[in-house]
Amino acid sequence: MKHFEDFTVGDTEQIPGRMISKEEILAFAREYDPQPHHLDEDAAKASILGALSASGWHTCCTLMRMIFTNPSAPAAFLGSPGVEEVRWKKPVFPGDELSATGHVVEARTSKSKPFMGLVKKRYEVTNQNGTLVMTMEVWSMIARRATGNAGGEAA
Amino acid sequence: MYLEDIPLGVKSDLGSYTFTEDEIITFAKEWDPQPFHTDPEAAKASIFGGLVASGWHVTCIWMKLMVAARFSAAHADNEKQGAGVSPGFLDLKWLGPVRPGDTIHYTSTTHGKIELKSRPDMGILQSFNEGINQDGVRVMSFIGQGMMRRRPKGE
Repeated sequence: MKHFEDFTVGDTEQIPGRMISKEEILAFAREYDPQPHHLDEDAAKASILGALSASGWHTCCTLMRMIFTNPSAPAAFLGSPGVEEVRWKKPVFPGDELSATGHVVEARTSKSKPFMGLVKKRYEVTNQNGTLVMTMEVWSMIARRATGNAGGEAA
Repeated sequence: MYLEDIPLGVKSDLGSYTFTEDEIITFAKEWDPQPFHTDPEAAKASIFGGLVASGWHVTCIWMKLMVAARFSAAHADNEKQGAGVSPGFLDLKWLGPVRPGDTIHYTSTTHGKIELKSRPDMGILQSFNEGINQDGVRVMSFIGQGMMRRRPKGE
């Protein structure tokens, strides 16, 4: 189990990928983002996206699923205060195979909650052609490793 | 309707949504499988002290209600013009927990406009979006962005 101390600015990790099927695109869109260009082939062709594509929120959720089902990198996640920025760079189409790379861009201890630290990661999601489809900069709260200096002052 | 026709600072009421325990767990098992979102017992030991909805779930419901509100207004022309396509979002904050039984009231306020050098015929309309619980506590906010056609010169 990785703790806050195990995250260093500059660290990079590969996150196992996932295919997004047409059925999944339609099911997600029906529930959370029922706009015609996510539900209907003809409406999608007439839109500026040119073809049926996944909701951007679906791509965000897919990245979360990829991160939290990645068996090689369990970490003591305590939740997230939020996301600084998401860019939907290119559409995600049915059958696309997404994969992701995560970069640690900032890491700091919490002054108000000395048992944890905050780690900002930048994720880059690419499709099977290597095209960047989404970037996300997100903060995670991660438990610090318990030491003899428990409750020590945050840096 | 062109970008130029949208007044800033106008708040739209998107309605309310009550989160059930079943729905919180179902969403999280699929998209955000962390114990404080999927397991009521394990969640008791988390910093939340009990089961909480995935922040992505809380935000996806904003999208669901936003689409419903837009479709109840005249929307067909906007779709053809590219409204509803988004380049991404900024500054998503999960400010407080959403627990089973909580009712979140969502709003969207027109916030800003961005011109696009690459697409002089299009612009971005920014919205400030919020979710507020039954006790008046803001649990989520973010700046959304949607592409809109700009008024052609001479029109």
